[in-house]
Amino acid sequence: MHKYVLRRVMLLVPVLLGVTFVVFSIMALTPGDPGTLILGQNASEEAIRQINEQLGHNDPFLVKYFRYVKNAVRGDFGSSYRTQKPVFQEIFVRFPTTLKLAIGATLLAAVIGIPIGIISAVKQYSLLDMVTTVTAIFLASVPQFWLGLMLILFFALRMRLLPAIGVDTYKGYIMPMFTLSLPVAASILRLTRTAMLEVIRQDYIRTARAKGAKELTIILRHALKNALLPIITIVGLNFGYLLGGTVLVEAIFGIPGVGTLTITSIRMKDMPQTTASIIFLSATYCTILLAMDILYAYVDPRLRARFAK
Amino acid sequence: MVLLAVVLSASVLAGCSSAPKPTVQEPVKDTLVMELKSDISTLDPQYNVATISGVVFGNIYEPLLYYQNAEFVPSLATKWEISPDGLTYTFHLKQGVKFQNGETLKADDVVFTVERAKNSPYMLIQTEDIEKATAVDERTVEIKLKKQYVPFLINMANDFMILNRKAGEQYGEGLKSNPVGTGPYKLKSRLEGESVTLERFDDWHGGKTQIKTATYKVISEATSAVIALESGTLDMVNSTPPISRKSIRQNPKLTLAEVPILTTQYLPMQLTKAPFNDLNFRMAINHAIDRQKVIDVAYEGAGQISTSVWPPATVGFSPNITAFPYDPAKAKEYLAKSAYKGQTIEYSIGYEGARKQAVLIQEDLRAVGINMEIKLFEQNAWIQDMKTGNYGISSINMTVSPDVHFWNRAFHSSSINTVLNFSRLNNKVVDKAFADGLSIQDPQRRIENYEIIANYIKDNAIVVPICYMVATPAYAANLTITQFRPDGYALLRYMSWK
Repeated sequence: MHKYVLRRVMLLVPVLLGVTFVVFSIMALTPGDPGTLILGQNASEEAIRQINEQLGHNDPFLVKYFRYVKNAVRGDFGSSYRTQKPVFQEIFVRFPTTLKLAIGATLLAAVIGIPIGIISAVKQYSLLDMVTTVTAIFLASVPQFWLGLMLILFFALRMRLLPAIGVDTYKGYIMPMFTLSLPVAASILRLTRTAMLEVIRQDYIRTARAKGAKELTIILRHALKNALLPIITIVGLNFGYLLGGTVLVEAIFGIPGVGTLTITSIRMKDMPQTTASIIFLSATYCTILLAMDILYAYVDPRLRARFAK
Repeated sequence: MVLLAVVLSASVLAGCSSAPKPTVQEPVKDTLVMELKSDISTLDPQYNVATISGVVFGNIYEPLLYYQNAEFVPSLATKWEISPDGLTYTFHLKQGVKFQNGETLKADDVVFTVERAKNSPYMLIQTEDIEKATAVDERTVEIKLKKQYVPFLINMANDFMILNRKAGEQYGEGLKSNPVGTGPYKLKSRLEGESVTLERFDDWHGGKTQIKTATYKVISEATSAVIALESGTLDMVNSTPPISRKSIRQNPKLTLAEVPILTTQYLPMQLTKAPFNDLNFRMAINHAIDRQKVIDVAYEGAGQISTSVWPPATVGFSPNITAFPYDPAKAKEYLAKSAYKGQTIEYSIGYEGARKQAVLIQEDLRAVGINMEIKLFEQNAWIQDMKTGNYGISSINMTVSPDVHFWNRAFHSSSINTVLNFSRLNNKVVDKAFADGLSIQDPQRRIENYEIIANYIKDNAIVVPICYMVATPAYAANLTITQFRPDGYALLRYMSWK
């Protein structure tokens, strides 16, 4: 298992190299220069030219790319053109907030989606099943933007129960977490239902019933355990998505997160910040995928045996 | 499921009205929470281009003078003199002014400020004509220029903040997070990407302000900011989206202000490209557009029809220039005389927000027989195309320092391909008037000089002026604001709770 983990960690290097190359290429193809970004449109042409020269903007693409990789290997990822601050400082200031939101939203989505998915599968074709199916479709279709604003209008403006914006207190996290978690809960619910339906039709479930096991034990110990693999996959993938994909919710609720930082730096053509943000998110996503693989091994004894070999 | 039902019901009930709550007399507040569209990038006034940062550090620092309501008003300088040759400016400093680190303002601080500014690439335009600054005595400073440069006073006003030498030498680049100014507020705390909090500086030379603590919260989504204002989380929103203004006006707990600002909206045309190289075609466009309708529909009434391109608050603005009339019949006459053959012209925009105005203009032009297609470009690509002349007609919001001289960046021949002369205007009369304006001290003669440019632009329909923009901040009804900046924001010193 340790060898497998080590091999996966080392695979991060070519993945991140590939990511930086793609980002560099795309940014190089689009117009704009750091001098204008830093000094503004109204700055003198001479000053803009000086800044571009200092930053090596006019060097050939491959020279710029290899210079970046060389510095990155030494731990120097550069400073944001926009704020002049070290790029990872900008990310680490915002990451805890994004992480709290992502963890909270994922847990909430799992707590809502998994039990309802199980009940829906066990009570297939019942009224409850139909209601949860329709609700899941609605939640998966509703735009996050609209959902967030509706929650603010009701809970902040009408009821004055929660703050409209900001995450100064724990209350500030409630509405953003719900906004993020409900669409994810919908997909977890549907997948849990499908996975459970596949499992509860298996022979070993019929055997367990024939042996007189309690229904709850059959569902939780036998059925759910075998349905866990795809559920872990979707929960993990959504967690990874939430870490980088919360821009809309951050904008609506005035939350300083990594998503907004990334989008702003792309729009402003802030090359160092964009590259660092995407490297960070890629590395985080790869780590989550690795964690999921390890979790599979703990859940599925067949995979555990394969790793042990 | 119960949880889901509650959330879904909440979204439906959001549309229902609730019973009015009884009013409660509250004690006078001394705190203020305001919205900022984006996070500040620095608190060092000499290494900054962002208006947002200026809004915050404008409370911490002060310049020698302000330019407000079309006149120069003393600030840290009580009076100033200009030598007869126009090369030396002498400023007399106010006595007893304290910096937030306890130091007293001296002429040497102004000298330090100028020296440091000359080394900043962000301040090249403000300092390139300064030869040197000298402290004549403790409270008198002389600034000598390399050549006559009348807009120098505008450069020193509003945004040329005076630093303390001791703090500047102590912190160096660290001034961006450790500001030390003479203003009525000092930095209390900052949460990156989230908020900046200022607290009152009790030794301010102007007395004690009413607001003790002010927090600027970063909220990029305008609708959320307005909801936060309505719910009481915020006390002020600096700019309101058009869709929210009607409900704000109808809300007795809120005030919606309309503040004329220095931003002007106009349509540059590529003068070297057909059919825009045809004066009759350009005149046709200028007469075909119903500017009042554009203001009413695209900007919800927040605008004033432009006469000259630069707004009235600009030094050198002439009230003698009149706006193009909305005259479709005249437009058709001009069009008939032009070489336009009915081809589709491309109207390029660099952001989606410009589409509403573009659609209205498209309608007006179609009514007189001009076919126009609207094309949206990515912003950097759009700017690049505008600079290189790879466009036909576009729209732009321009904000320039309040002196006509600075419009040379949009209309002087030296600005083609480099700065903002998107029209690619190359005219000796215009260039000469810009050059002459640098050395004319008499205000009336300056106006007459710049009238030459304004008349040339109008008579030759160089651009299509649309409107002067108006900012629409909204704030709690029991908050009083007596003065706004030319960019539509307000300094804390002008705010108080009733």
